[in-house]
Amino acid sequence: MIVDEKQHTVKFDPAKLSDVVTTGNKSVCFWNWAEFSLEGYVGKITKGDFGRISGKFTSTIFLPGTGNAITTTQNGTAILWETQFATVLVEEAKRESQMRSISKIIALVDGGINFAITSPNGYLVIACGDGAVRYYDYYLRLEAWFEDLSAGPVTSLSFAVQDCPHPAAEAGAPGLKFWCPDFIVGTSDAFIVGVESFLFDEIRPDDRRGTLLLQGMADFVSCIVCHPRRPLVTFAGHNGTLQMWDYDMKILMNLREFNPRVGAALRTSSAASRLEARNFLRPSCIAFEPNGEFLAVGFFSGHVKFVSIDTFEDIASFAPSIDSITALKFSSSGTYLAASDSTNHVLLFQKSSTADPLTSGGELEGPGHEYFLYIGRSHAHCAPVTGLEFGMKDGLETLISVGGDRRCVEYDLEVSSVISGLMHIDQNTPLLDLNAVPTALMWHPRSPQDTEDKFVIVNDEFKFKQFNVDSKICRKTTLAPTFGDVPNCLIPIKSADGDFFAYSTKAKVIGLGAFPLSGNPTKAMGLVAHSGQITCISVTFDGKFLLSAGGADLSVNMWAIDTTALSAGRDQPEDEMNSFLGLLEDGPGGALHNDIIDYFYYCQLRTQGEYSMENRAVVGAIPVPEVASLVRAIGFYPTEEEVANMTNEVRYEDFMVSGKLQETIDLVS
Amino acid sequence: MTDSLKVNWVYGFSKDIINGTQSLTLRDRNALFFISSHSGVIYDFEHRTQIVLQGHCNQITCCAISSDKRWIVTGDVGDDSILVVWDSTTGTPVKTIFIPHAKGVVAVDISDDSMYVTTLGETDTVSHSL
Repeated sequence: MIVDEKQHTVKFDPAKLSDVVTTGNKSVCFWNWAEFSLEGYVGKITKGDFGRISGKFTSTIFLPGTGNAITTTQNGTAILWETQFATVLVEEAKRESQMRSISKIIALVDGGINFAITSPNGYLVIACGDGAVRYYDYYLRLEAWFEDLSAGPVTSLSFAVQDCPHPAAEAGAPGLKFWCPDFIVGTSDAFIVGVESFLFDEIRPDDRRGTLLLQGMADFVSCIVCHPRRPLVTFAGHNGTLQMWDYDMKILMNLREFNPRVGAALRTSSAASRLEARNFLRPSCIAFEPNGEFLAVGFFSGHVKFVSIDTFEDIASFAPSIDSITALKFSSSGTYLAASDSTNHVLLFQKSSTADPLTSGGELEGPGHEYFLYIGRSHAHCAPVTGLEFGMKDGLETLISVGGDRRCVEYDLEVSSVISGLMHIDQNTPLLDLNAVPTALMWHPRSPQDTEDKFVIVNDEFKFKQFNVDSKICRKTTLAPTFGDVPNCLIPIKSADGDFFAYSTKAKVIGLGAFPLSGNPTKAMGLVAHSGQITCISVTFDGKFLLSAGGADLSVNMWAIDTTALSAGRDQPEDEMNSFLGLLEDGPGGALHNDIIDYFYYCQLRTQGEYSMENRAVVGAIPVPEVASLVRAIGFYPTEEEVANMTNEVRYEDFMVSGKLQETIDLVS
Repeated sequence: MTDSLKVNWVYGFSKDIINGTQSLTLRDRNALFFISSHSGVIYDFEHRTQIVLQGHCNQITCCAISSDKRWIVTGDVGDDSILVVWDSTTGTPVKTIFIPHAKGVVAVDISDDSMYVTTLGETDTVSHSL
């Protein structure tokens, strides 16, 4: 049977298993399923009744033992459905008279009713939109109320299994004390509160609040960040809150609401409150100072604040931009803070011991009274900034930004000052790539044998490209993890097993990969972390946990990192080759593989003269310029620039280590 | 390879799902169940430990608990929707029904004797199963 209106809730009759009721916004259906066939009827609402009911139906439950049902509405009314028991002889009329119809419509509460349930000891419990929980007997007489929970509109209510410790009144019977089992209440302000029935008898409102069991996030989580030294993690919520949790003890340590007064005013919509709404502070990104002493918070309104860790109080406040701040990064020494905003600017703050009365926003506590100065901003990119990182170049700190315009800009931190503003090193910055747009940036971890500083970008063609910081020449191009969408965030992880990185994509997938980057698919993994968008990931200071924020699904998951599978077998070159061959169509030994081997030998023939009559030597290697012909033979037609990049990558592969250029390439390396 | 990242803890819960938070408290146990995105979480608030129930691919839309607090039923809406019955003490899925309704399950209820589960699908049809 199909009903006209979409139903949203379903409930069994606890007393009579064959009865089920479903509720829609404006209709209620009663179903019966004896004998494996489902039959039902829509509860009749007469025109007269219809006029008295306003507001959507939120839930319907059966009252056990009476065969009646109660529907609650968003406007606080309860509708009682009763069966008319009449002695009728005709079979058909008898059946119709057993259908339920409206017998009473009562306005119970002023606020809305979110839903109703029955308590195990005979009460009807109403969960209200004004945050109260009220107990009625089955004749809708009020017996008890919990109105001081102060946790927000109630969206969940559930009883524990408990025996009554003392003789208590039956619902509806006068005399003995009220009792109900302990229950928990979940609210739409993201609290879960445990309530005990004796709280009803408490006199002071403060004592009637119940125990907070769990606090969640009330709004979209825009950013998460881990403390550099202690097991703390901070979440930024879109409703203007910061929460700091200790992830070892699983306790909420600190909470701050940036807009305590404005919160209530926003519920009305007047011009004055809309003006205040523009100044409503919603944190968009946060960063811990490298020594872990304070926190920098960037907002959607363009403000940047520094807050203390212990109390979350403001230490300094700046308003450098009118557009939202999209990234915040501290340099590893803590001297500089870089930010990017949504109009493609890059901003810089510098810590100094002298204050500039014109630009400094505040004083930082600490030895020597240091100040943060706003240096300036640079509009070097014409598309959104997708990566902003501080790193070391020849032992000195430098700042690099990459953007959707495919440019990489390096900023001159020595020369930038309050007077000159943020300067960038005036290189004729070539495009990083002709077509592919870089989506994330990280610094390549430096191992003892490396002689150059490199950074890595991932672009929307799923390629990792490693660039030399000085010359911005691409050193290597390898395949990025292809589990899901293109990675849009990369974080290097240092562990005892070696160097790894964590990545996240725009939606659903996060994962890990291993250095050195070789494009080997067995050296990376990915899994579905959230059912929707992923806003941010962060790695703890000891590299043991990865946290991912799911944005609109209001959850942050903490994952334990185990790198044994990724680092296993990393040193065997034969296995490495097999994993790449596995990527070819038909795998190793298949048609494509054999074709490649054939073309390789043909290249050797060509270089030694196709039409020559002399003996040819099978040297097992071809000169580097022939690589272009080889790839064209298997169907990949690179542009001249790509050919130049490929041959340079091969030539300079060992340059930094051995000082020699590679002029030939064989099948293995 | 998927053991490289294992869920350790879940912060935050889906606060707007009606009856998305349920009590699992019995005489010897102080626990509650909540929905967080596509995972259910059994949270023992006395010892502060969590058992994460993973398996759904989409946001969980509804849940129901049996009256003896032994079974948890969860359902979701979307592609590859499933209906799962979990054991509330160990968190192991006891029964999984793939695509119980064409587009997913919008509401679910379990009978008092834990013998029957009724589900309401996205397309207005009600179905029962044991």
